[in-house]
Amino acid sequence: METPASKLVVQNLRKSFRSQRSEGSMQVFEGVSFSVQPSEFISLVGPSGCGKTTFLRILDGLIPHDDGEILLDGKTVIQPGPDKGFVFQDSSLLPWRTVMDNIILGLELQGVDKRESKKKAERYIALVGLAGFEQHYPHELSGGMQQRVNLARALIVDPQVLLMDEPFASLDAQTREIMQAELLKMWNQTKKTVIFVTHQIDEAIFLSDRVVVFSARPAKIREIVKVGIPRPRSLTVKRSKEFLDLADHVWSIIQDEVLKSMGREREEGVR
Amino acid sequence: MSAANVYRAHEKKFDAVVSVVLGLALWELIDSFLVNNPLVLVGPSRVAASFLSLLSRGVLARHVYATFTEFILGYLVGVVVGFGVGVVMALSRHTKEVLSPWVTIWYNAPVILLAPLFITALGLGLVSKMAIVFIAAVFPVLFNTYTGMSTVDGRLIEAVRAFGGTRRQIFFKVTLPGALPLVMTGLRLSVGRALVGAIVSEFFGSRAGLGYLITAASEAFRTAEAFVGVVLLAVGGYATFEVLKYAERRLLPGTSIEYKGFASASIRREEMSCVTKPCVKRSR
Ligand SMILES: Nc1ncnc2c1ncn2[C@@H]1O[C@H](COP(=O)(O)OP(=O)(O)OP(=O)(O)O)[C@@H](O)[C@H]1O
Ligand SMILES: [Mg+2]
Repeated sequence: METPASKLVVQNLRKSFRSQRSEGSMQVFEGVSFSVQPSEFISLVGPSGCGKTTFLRILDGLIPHDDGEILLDGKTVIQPGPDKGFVFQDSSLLPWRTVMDNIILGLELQGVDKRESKKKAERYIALVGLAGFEQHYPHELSGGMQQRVNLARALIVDPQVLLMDEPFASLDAQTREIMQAELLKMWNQTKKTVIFVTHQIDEAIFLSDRVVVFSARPAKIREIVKVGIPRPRSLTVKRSKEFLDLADHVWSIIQDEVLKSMGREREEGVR
Repeated sequence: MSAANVYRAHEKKFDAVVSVVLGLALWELIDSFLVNNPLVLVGPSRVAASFLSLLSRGVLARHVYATFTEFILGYLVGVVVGFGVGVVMALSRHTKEVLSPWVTIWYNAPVILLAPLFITALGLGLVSKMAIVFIAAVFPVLFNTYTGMSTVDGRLIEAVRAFGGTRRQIFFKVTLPGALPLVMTGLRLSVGRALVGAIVSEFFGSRAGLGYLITAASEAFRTAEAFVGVVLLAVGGYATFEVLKYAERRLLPGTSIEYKGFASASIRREEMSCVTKPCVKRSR
C-alpha cells in the first residue's frame, strides 16, 4: 500500500452528491484507492458520467469528499494550491488577458513579482511552442494553441502533480496526436507526476505508465492496466500488436461497464 | 497618396461627414423652399445665427452650465450608487431578494412623470433636477452590473480557484473584469436616460438650463433659439457617448466577438428577467 516513496496516495475515497430531485444522495464513487510514484504518468478512463472529473476536482481540493484520504508527498490535501496544476478540458483562459498574462496567473495569485514571472513565463512559452504569441488574446488562437496556453499556465507554478481533465477532447484528430506527442516530450523534460483523464483509450495507453479503469457509477476501480511499452514512444507504436492488445483489453472492460450501466438505467426507468 | 487612397483610408469618417453635410443642406432647402415659415421650421443658417447671438450675449453659457451640472452630478452619483448596489446584489443573495421588487418597479415606472413632485418637494434649482437625473441613471447601471457579475462564466472562476485564488482575488481578477462589458453598456444606456431626465425636469419648472431655454423660446415663438437648445443637446449626448466608447476600447482590450456580443446584445433583453428570476450561469 503506502510506500514512503509514493508521490500521491489515494485511500478509500468516497464521494456522493446530494441529489437534486429526490431526497437522499447519489453515490459517485467509493473505495477508490491507489498510489502514484513520482514522475509516473497515470491515465484515468471509464464510462461517461462515472465521476472522473469529480475525482480530479477532489484531488485538486476544489470540492470536498465524504470519506477517505488523499496524501500528496505525505501531506493531506485540503485545498487547491500551487502544489497542484490543473489543465481543464476547454480553455478556461481569461478572455481579457493576453497569452502572457494568462500564463502568469498562478504566479500572480501567489504574489510573485511581475517582472520575474514574465521572465519565467518565456521559458514555458517556448516549451509549449508559443513563442511570438505572448501578446495575443485567447480568441485569436486556435483550439490547440489555447490548450498549450492552458498547459503552460499549469506548468509554470511548478506543481508536484499535474491534473489534466480531457485536455485534448475538443481538438481535431490530427492536432490531438501532435499534442499527445508534445505532451510526452514535455513530460520527459519536466518529469512531473501526471493524472490524465481521457475518453480516448489509445490516448491513455500511448501516454501512460498505468491506466486506471473506473467502473460505471457508483464507480470503483475495475482494473489498473500496466503499459509496458518502452519509452520514448513515437506515434507509430499505436499500430504495434502490444498496443492494440492493450487497447482491446481496456475497451472490453469499458464496454462491459457501459452495458451494465445502461441496464441499470433501464431498470431505474421502469421503477 | 492618391485621392482614392485617402478616401479608402478614411472611408467611414468620410461617409459620415458627407451624410451630415447633405442632411444639413436638405434641411436648409426644405426650410427655404418648402416650409417657409420661421415659426415651424428654421434652417441651419438661422439656427447658427441664433447660436452666435445667444453666445455673444452670454446667455448660452449660463444655460449650458446649468444643464451640464445637473446632468453630470446626477449621472455620476447615479452611476456610482448603481454600480455599488449592483455589486452588493450580485454578492449577497439576501440583498438581491430584498431589493429586486423595488428595483423592478422603479426601473419600469415612468419616473419622469414624478418630476413635478420632485420640483415641489426640492425646489426649482439644482437639487430637484439632480434627483431626477440620478433616478434615471441609476437603474441601467445597477441592472447591468448585477447581471454582468452574476453571469460570469463559472469555469473561469473555477480555474482561478484551482490555482489557489482567494475570494478577494476571484472578485478582482474574474468577476469584476468579466462584468465590465455589461457595466459599460449600463453606463452608455444611462447617458440617454439621464439627459432626458435633466431636460424634461427643466420643462416642469426651472430658472435656467437648455430645457428652460427650449420651453421659454417656444412659448415666445423664438423657434431658432429652441433649435439651438435641441442641437446642443444632441451634440452633448453624442460627445458623451463617444467618450464612453473610447473608454470602453481602452478598458476592454481582449474583446472578442463573443465577449463583446455577450456584453451588448444578449443581456439587455435578459436584464429584467434576471432580477425577477434567478440567473442561470452561462455555460456552453
Ligand atoms: N456539482 C455537482 N452536483 C451534483 N451532481 C454532480 C455534480 N458534479 C457532477 N455531478 C454528477 O456526478 C456524476 C459524475 O460526474 P463527472 O462529471 O465527474 O463525470 P465524468 O466521469 O467526468 O463524466 P464525463 O466522462 O462525461 O466527463 C454525474 O452523474 C454528474 O451528474
Ligand atoms: Mg468529465
